[in-house]
Parts: sequence; structure tokens; C-alpha cells
Amino acid sequence: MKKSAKKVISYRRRCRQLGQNTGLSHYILLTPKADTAANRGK
Amino acid sequence: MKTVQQQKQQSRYANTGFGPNFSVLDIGMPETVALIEPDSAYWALVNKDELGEALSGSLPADFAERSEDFKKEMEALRFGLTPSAAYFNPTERCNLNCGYCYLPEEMRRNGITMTPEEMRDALERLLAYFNTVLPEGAKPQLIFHGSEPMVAREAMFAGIEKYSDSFHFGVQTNATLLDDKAIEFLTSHGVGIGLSLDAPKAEIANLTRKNWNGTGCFDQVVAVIKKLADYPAMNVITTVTSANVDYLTEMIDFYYELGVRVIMLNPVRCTRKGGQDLKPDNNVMTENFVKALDRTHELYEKTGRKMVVANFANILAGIIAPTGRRLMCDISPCGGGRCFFAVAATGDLFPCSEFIGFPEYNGGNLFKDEIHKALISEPFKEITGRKAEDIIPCGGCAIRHFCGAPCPAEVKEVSGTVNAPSPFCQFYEEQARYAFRVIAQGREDAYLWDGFDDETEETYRWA
Repeated sequence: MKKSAKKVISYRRRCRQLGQNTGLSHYILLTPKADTAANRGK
Repeated sequence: MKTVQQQKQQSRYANTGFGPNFSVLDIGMPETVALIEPDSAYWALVNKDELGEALSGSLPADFAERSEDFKKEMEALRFGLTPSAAYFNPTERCNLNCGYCYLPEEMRRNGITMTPEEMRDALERLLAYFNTVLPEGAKPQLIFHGSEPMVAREAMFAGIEKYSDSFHFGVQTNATLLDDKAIEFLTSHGVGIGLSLDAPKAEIANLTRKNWNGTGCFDQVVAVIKKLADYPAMNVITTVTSANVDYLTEMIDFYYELGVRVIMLNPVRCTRKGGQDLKPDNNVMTENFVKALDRTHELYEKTGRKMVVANFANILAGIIAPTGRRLMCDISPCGGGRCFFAVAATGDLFPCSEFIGFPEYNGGNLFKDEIHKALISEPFKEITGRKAEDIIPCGGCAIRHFCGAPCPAEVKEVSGTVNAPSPFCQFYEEQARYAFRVIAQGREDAYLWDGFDDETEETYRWA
């Protein structure tokens, strides 16, 4: 298989702030913090 | 003499010798399958007619070049994190008596509530702890949780007022005590607000979420959702049970019409008998959940407005960016006791709120003991040491790091040991398959939360 094969999809990303966004349970607040009203006002 | 690492890197074939072990996963597409190396959470989507070639040559070689980095990343994610969040129960009491609650009835009916002074003391202690483990400038997350945290309104608001610069605050509430003043206070302080609603119509929603007299709260919750529709830090949780499992697609339409942006369709936790009695059938749950996801995509295509189903988005995120997931239920060890912990109204510390009703999982007390010591107590270690590799059949499952065999509290109650699979195993399997189909179709953006691309960066791509 040539590496240029277009029928393969494979990629990976990583968190820029591991440990800060990663860390909640199934009851959560999955809303970007930057979008909150208080932060918009700052 | 070649080293093992050199031999691995020069291996041309998967599944023999030093080559990687690629599991082949049917993802429900006629032409495409997923190859997965489970330990490193590596995956590749390949055409079925090229499978033979994919298992030899440049794909295994390409993986071999990166496998150690991928494995190190998973090791850090699974065993190297320190807590950055606390779930905080300011009261044991609740004004509702939902059938599936994981907290004991006596506690919810007659329990204690923190005073404002106790709250400030508790937050001071938590802040001091987080300052020792988080990087400078990083704010810990503190989520008021229940029982019903608004029962402790005075104490909770006093805490938010004093520490609004120190924590990212959130509150998970049943919404029935959120009057206009409370909404103004929470939104003006940028507090994330999670509400709970179980169905798009009162007669279904009120079956599971009702007060001690048996009266449901559908109308009150919907009124609050309408008031908060423009508030970006609001989300709604629907607990999926046998009572509402047939209404998930209607639920999507209902929320969408209300302008909700983020929801969760969480399967009921079988941590107590009430939850076990309301558990939906796995096949029915899966079928309806998939239809609900399809519906969100239809709506997105039609209008350009997205509504994220966050519990699925987290599975998708965990595949695309293992470290970019927000929730730590679908990885093993789960986040309980290592990424977050729970504080009861007594100050007792538990790995997760799910354990608050089980005294044997108390690892210490916030007012008497050091948090560091609670985190390495025996009850905490039982949870933080729980790995999919040690569980049958999870140890041989291709998607074990996309699912994590959640949740240990639920599993313990259902199976008598934490080292057993999830009672919702098939549901998680199908979510992973759906997620791979989303990737194969290039539809990731339609399902992930806004900002995901900025929070993460690409480290690898087959090109």
C-alpha cells in the first residue's frame, strides 16, 4: 500500500491543555468557558 | 544485533512477529472497516478491498514509527493526570424524589445542608489543594451537584461570590428552585448551568422526575430552559430510561426548537435499584440513540445550527484526540478519584458522586484530612486502579480505550465487583461504530462541540 493511498483515513489530535479541560464526569458543563457571559464581559 | 524497537520498526506485517496487532472493526459501512491498535488508541479507516495491503507494508511501518509516542500519550492520559475538578454537594437534601437517583432516600429527605461559613471553609481548602497540583494560572472546575444544590442556595451563592475568580463554577440543578434572581446571579457570574429534563411531554417527563408528593416538574423546567436559551453556558441532561427511550428523536426536536445548544442523553446509572428497574433494553437504547444522533445531523444540514449530544461527542473526541475528551467516564481508569473527586455535604470525600451513598468508598474528610491522602486511600485506589485490561471481555476489546467500561459504581452494584463490563456494553460498542462512520463521512464538525479544533492540535495524519 502506498502512503499516498487516498482511501485510508487516519489522524490524531492532542489536547493543548491536557489536565485542564480533561477531567469531568458524566454530569458536566460541556460548554466552552470562553463563551460564558462573565468571560465575554472581560 | 537489532534492538526490539528496531525490529518493531522494520516489521512489514501486522499481527505476526514484531508487527502491531491490528483489530479489524466492522463499522457498518459497505466499503470501509476500521483497523485499531487498542493499546495506543490508533485507528485507520481503510477500504475493505484494500485490507490485505493495509495489514502489510507502509501502514504497519507508519504505525511502528509512532507507536511509542501514542502509547506514552495514553499512559499519561490514563495514569499521569492530577485532579482538576471537584463535584461538590452542598446539601444532602433534594426537593425532588426521582425514581433513579443514586443517592439514598433517607439522605435526600432528611439530610444536612452546609452553612455559608462551612462552604467558604470548604472552598478555601479545595483551592489550597488545587494550587498545589495545577499549573500556575489554571483554574480548577467546581461543580455544585446533588441532591439538589439549590436547596443550599445561600451557602452556594456565598461561595460563588467569594471565589468567582478562583474556580470555574458550574451547577447541575433540577431547575425547580431557579427563580429570576437566581438566574441573574448565576449568569452574571458566568456559572455553567446544567438542567435536567427527561421527555418532550409532561406525561412522560413527570414519570421519573417528580417531587415527594409525586407531582412532576416538566412545566417549571421548560420555563427555565426558555429563560436560559440564549445563555451559552447552559446544557440539558436527559436521563434515558425505559420510560422515555422511545422519545429520543422527539426530544432532539423539542430541545432544538427551544434553542438548546448542548445536551446529554445519558443512560440511567444502575447504581441503585431504582435505576436498575428503569434500565432501558440495550438494543432499544442503541437504536433510538442512533436515530437521535441522525436527527441532530439532519437539523444541522437543514439549518446550519448545531446541537451537540455531548456524551456521544466525547466518544468521538476520544477517538480523534484521546487527550481532548472532556469527560472521563469513557476511559479506564475512569476519572473518579484521579481527574476529579466528590465532596459530600459532610465534607466526606469520594472518588465520584456516584459513590456518595456507599460509605465504604469514603476516602477521608475535607475538614479533617489532607486531600492528597484521601486520593491514595484504599477506596480511591480500587477505582483509580480499575483498568479495562483486567476485565473480561474488555481486555480483548478493540474499543476499550474509547469506552472504558463505565462506570465502576454502577458495575459494582450490578455485578458485585468493579472488574466487570458495563451493563450498557452494546450501547458503547455502537457509539464507537457510529463515531467511525462520522469520521469516514467527514462529518466530525457536525457532532463536536464548538472550539474543539482550537482546544486540540493535529499530531499525526496519514497522507
